[in-house]
Amino acid sequence: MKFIKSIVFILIQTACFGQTATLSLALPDIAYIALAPDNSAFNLIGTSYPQAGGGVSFNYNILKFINFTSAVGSGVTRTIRAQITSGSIPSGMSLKLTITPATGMMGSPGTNVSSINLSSSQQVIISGIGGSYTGLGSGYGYNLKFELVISDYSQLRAGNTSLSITFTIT
Amino acid sequence: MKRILYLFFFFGVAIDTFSQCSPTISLIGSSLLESPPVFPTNRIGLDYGNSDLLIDRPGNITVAIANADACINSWQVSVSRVDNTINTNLRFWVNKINDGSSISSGASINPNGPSAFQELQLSSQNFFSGTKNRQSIQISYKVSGISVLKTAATYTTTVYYTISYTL
Repeated sequence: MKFIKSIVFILIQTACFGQTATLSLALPDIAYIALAPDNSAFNLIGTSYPQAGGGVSFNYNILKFINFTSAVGSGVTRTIRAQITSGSIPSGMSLKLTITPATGMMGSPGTNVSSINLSSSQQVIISGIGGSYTGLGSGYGYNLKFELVISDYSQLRAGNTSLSITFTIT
Repeated sequence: MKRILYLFFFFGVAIDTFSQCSPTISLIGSSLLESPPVFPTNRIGLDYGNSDLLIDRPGNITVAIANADACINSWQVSVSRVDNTINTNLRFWVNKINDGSSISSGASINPNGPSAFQELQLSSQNFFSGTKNRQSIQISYKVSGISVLKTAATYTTTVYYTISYTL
């Protein structure tokens, strides 16, 4: 009888059989940068002081923001550089770029330098960017202040100069 | 002695009969490598527009259950996952899009029709059950939690489909 019980036990036991599937998701590197509200040109115009002996002052522009989206692999960080890519700054002055972070950036948005004098050489303005996004549009990301600073009045000449400034994320 | 021989005969017939009623499961589309859509340039400054990625390839991700036509035992398909990548923080989901088809009369599958997405867990969870055989049950997956904030890498999980049945 015990033998028969054993048989019954064997017959009602549950058996299993399995298969596996491999599901992989590749999240890519992303490095996109844009200027907000747009990359349109703006003017920095000099105005002489309305009295003899006064200096020349320039307006400045604080309306541009750097927006970016960045996805990076493990241990990788990104850098944003600025460079004058066409034209040259008139003698006797420099073009100062001041960078200020806005609030609300997500992830690891990096660290900015306070300011640089733009030149035809690439200069780092933000470094240590990891997986991050800044927000879209004006008021998000890093604010850029462009201002002309006179360093040598003796070299100033009247005229118009056009510059192109390129921001690169790598 | 004669009794024992009868028992062996009975046992042999029973084993032979029930061994044919051991349903097996097979998969089509058992190795999938997916990527989110190309990041749109009009979203610079933002994250992916959709943190979910649906992996739906009509006819190319299917499950089949093989079982002898005469078998009346029921079976249960369960799913679980084991991550091959550490700390993914991604969530994987699976659903049954349709019931496939069966060549056996009286075959059943439960639930009928499309099932809701259920999250693939590390522990085994019931997926669907049925009787007899079943072909081309279409499956889709969903990965949620996609973000540029996650490390760019290939995340892999192994999905285990287990069919259990009573002899």
